[in-house]
Amino acid sequence: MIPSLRELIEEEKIANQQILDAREEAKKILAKAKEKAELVVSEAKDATEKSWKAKIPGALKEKSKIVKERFDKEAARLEDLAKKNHKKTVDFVLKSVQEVHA
Amino acid sequence: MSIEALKSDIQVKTKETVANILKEAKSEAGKIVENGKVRAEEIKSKLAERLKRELEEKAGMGAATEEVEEKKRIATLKQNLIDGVFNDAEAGLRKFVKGEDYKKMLPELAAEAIKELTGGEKFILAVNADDKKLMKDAMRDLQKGISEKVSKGAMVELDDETIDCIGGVVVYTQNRERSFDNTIDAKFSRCREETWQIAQILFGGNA
Repeated sequence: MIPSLRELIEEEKIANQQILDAREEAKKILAKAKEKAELVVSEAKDATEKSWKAKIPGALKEKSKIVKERFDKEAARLEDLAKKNHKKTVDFVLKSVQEVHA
Repeated sequence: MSIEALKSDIQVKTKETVANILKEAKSEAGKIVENGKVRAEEIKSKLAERLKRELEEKAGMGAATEEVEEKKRIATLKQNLIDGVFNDAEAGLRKFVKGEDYKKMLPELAAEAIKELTGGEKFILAVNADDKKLMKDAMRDLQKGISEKVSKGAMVELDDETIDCIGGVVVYTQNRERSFDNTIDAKFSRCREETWQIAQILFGGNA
């Protein structure tokens, strides 16, 4: 082989290797990008779950507070009525017991 | 073309190819990351929707359990308030049997019981120890009233044994096969069974 041809072949080899290396580098870049994308998804998922889980105790407490308040009002209303009507009811019982149909 | 020129051409073309490969890879990588971000937003919103629904369900279930407990609390409160009425009524009845109106009422209770037992010829009246004298004193008038209003030949007799009660009378037929409990206690018990009516009055029709 003439030396100049050998040189050219050598140059081609180097070029091919550089292209192969570039392709390897491209693969790495894509893999890294995929990894990053997965991480973004996973982080978003975790952050959402975490944020909603943190809301649970507060929401339960709030709902419980609403229920309790409603029944506290009902209890107060019944106590008021009973206080107002206690004597009338006692009198009704006494009258019922004292009623005789002889 | 000289060898040097050819070599240089190879180098230039290679440089271009490498640059293109890397440029494309970077561009594709950018798209992948962007897609990831879009996917993350979608997942976030879908997940948030699902978690919100779950949270509402959880809170709803918690509230339902709490509501059952609160209803129990209200039922106990109502029962306590009604019990308060019956306690005061019982105290009132104990006071009542010491008064003048009761003296008039006792023979009436006996007459009412005898009426309920219709068909007997002899009736035995049982009262508590405190009322024995009171009943004894009323026997003549009671006998007269029974003969006139219930049965002509019917006889009434006071039992030697006393009973344990607030007041009132238990009337037996002669053979004690039948009886009518007209004690204050029995009447009070019958009244206690009408809890619904009592609740209606106590809670102003909002029971």
